[in-house]
Amino acid sequence: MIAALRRWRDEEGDVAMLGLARVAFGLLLGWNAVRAARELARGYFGDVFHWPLVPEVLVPSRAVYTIVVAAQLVLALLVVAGRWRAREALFASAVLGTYVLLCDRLQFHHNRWALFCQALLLSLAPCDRSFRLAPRLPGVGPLWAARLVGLQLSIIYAASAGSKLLDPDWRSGVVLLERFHLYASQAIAAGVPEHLMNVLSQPAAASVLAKGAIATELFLAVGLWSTRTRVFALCWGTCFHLIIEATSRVEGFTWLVLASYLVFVPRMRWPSGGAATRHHWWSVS
Amino acid sequence: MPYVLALGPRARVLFAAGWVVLQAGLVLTASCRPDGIFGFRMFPEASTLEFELDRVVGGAAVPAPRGEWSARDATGQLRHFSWRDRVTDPVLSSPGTRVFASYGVDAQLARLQRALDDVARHEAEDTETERFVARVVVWRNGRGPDTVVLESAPRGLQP
Repeated sequence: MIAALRRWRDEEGDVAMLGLARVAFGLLLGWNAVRAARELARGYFGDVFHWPLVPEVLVPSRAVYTIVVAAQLVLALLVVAGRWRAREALFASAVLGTYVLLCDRLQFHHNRWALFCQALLLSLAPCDRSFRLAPRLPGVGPLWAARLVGLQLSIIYAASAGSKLLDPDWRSGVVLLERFHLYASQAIAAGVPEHLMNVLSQPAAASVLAKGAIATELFLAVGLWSTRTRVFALCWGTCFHLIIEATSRVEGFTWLVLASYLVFVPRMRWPSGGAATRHHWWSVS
Repeated sequence: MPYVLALGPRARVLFAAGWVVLQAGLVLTASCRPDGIFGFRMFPEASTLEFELDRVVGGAAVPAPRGEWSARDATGQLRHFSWRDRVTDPVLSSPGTRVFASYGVDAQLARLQRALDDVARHEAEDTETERFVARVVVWRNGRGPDTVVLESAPRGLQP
């Protein structure tokens, strides 16, 4: 146990993929800031009903919040560019984003909280050495924080699966069935074949799908960590999230998860037996 | 100068332990929070709700259709008020309309209770309404309907 802990703490390896994850997180943070700016243009949340987790005195005024949103935009640009203080910008983005969530829990969404968690963890990894608008830096560095990004993803999967497993309505498929009933017309209008929606709207089909979703989340929570199951888990997880993206409104969660998958990619071993890290096809600059 | 985000070996262990404890604590205590925030409970329900807003005036409930009502201010002038002037949340801002209960019925009932208290506190120019009442009809995962009545805290009206 102690030896494994030491290995995790001191492990070093190729960090090139972390640069790509940083760019993806930066784009998501930028998109989040643009959304906040648009909402601000329609009205400041502090002027109407809001529900802060922090004392009201810590909720920013309209002027201060405008500066916060502008700062989030600038920080996102720094994160994407990677040329100057990208990790600090990533860290500050996570802190500012969390602060806004704490100022109004009506704005809370799991995908936003997950984004800020992952951004903070990635800021502790050397994610600024590749995919940057500057000469590339040495591509080997500590991986402990990248492992935490992966662990956070497993926590999300386990929490989501656990809550569904403990809920009889979820286990039996009632929740999915009702979602199909509520959104069937929208799905059909969006191009989903009507006969497919008719099949999915049957209790037996919803029950099977619900169990499949729970099993998928449980599998992904652990399957990403095993060398034997990682490639399959990445492919299965990608399909799983793309289906959710096509059928539900999850803001940027799909892309956040796919970007988080990048921390597992350098650990993949290809059929030839060589480590993926030997191929630097992703490196730029 | 040491790079502040490059933690040393000891700090790595402490940070990681703290992070895991924090996340585990937030996930395991999510059911203690009505909206389950920080718990990563994705798609927890497929419930819907619809509520009607009433005002209590002189001890009697008076409907406020679609969240609109008129009441006299301190000078005796009749003024128009709207629930939506204060409540802009997509789910809570539509009295009289059946809406999807994002994050579940309990989350939306907790938010609606807060919204009632918030409107009661902030509509200072309405000198007639003693408190607000929401009659909420909920369909939890398709079952129901069940009715829940929420009341704002009494407003301290000046005599």
